[in-house]
Amino acid sequence: MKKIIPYIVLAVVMLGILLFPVKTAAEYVRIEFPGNENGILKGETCSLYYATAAPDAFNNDQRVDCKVDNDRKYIEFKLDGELNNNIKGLRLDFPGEEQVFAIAGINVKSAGFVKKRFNPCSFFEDKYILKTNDIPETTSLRDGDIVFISTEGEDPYIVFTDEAVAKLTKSFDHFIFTKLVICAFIAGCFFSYVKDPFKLRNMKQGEEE
Amino acid sequence: MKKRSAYFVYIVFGFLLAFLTYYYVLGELRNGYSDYGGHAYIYLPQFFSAETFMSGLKAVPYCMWHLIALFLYKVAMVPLDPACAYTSCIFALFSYFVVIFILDKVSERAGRKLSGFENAFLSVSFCIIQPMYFYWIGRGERYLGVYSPNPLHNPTLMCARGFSLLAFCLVYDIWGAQENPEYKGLFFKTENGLKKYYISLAVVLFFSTMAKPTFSECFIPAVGLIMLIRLIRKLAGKGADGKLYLKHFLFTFLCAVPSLLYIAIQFSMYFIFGGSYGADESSLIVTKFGEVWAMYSDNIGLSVLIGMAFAFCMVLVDTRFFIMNDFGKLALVVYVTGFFEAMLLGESGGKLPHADFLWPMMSGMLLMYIASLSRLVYLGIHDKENRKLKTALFIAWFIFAAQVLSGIVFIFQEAL
Repeated sequence: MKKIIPYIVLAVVMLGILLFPVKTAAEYVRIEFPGNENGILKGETCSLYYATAAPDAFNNDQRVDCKVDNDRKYIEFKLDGELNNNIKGLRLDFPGEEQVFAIAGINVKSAGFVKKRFNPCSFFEDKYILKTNDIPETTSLRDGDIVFISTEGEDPYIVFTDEAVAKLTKSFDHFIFTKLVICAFIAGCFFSYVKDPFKLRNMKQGEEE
Repeated sequence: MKKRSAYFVYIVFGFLLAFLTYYYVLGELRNGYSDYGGHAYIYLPQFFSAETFMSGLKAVPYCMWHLIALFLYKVAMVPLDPACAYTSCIFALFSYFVVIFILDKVSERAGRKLSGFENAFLSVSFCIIQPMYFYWIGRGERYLGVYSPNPLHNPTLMCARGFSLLAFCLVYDIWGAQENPEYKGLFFKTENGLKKYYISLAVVLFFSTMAKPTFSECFIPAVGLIMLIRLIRKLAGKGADGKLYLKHFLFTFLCAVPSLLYIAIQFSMYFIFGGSYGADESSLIVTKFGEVWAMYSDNIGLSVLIGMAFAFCMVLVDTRFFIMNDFGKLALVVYVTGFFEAMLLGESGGKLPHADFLWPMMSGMLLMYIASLSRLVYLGIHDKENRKLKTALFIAWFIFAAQVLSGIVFIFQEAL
């Protein structure tokens, strides 16, 4: 019986970790630009509007801004964990400038891990775009997996379809993998201690010689 | 002859470390918003005249780095930037030689002293080691959110490192001698009595606190906790062990008193006299679990893993060492204490994002890394037969090397 107790304690600890309530992690939508002159974006701010009531009900209270920093070569929008399963529509706003710029990649990150990576050529296909404003053209360069977007006027934006919204917002992390790794580490330590796989039981640094 | 050549190698590698430190600090000083910029251009000038000296002391009561830099600037007439860089070089070299001392003693006990080259190479590596880094994992930061046993950008914690390591070794040997009067110390010759080592511990701890109080903030509670548990066990058992151990407990506690008083003075300067910038409305608070850390990390578990990769690998290889042996146990308990301070403590108001209670955890990381490295060296020398262990140690060396490489890249990217 005494031998079983440590295993029961281990199981309880691991169960406790797995059941420990944690908030859903925020999700980051990152849009990457190429590392050459095509990756230069004029203007100051890009915004991502998220609608929670209806797919096209956008307002300024439900908006995430990101300053354009051409040294970084990406813009990133943070969607809080509370928005998980609540986002019905997304609208991506570019700076109100007349320009043509390239997008080299879109990825979605949550809890520190890249969860999904999308090819921009596929992502900016017509079937994923519900509506555009002040964006006369999007051109895909298949060979380079780069999409070129031209904007004009004061309010260029793209409203995505339900399918695209689902793709972008289904990656909120619930820390299950992290919890499993913590449990695996604790279990590893436990078995290292109990089973002594490397036969180190009698090696006590500093005392035995 | 062999010894002399070892000293020569130590000096050559010491120069290398000093060179890297010097140019790193100058690079940091060029960036006005760095920690170095703040300490060199905002705090240090307050120590320049008698009128502003007290305000300087109130702003940074942990002023060892500032006082040495002040000496170099005012007395030795070194210009300000090099004075700051030289000061950091002095403390980098101090911790480098303490690491050499530790690895030398541990390897000697394992049966084969490390050669001068091996020891110097490992010690320099230890002094620059940084967390694992993958730009696509976490927030893509090398330091912020992940944290490091060697926060090179912070002059005061780097200043406290050598004293922290010495205090760690002293407590290990003092504990050995307290448990067994026949014990011949691993680092110090404790068989002739502990008096001078108690005094040394008090002095070293005090200096560490004077450099930055964060090490003492996690080390003293951890040592106290372990000794208290031992005391209760001994008092509950039969025999005279309990009373004798109570005496040891009190002597060890006395060693911490100067540091505790100094911390109390520092805290009162911060929170009562409003010495710390923006501290007028701030005070020490208990936060939600992980509230402060979560400001800089999307996944604290992942941050801990990549920050502690090498140490955790050694914990997996030899868990028993970190539970049964005082060296590993003390490092682990200090780290865990620091971790909970990081997760639960903060400053209210505008200073909450400063994350000042993450520093003690970094001191804990330092001890976990030195315990892991010394164990790795020990096992590598001691065991030549066990193939499974050899494979595990190879993986540990690989992770160590990857983290050292991360440190080299960090230095070159950030400053040079």
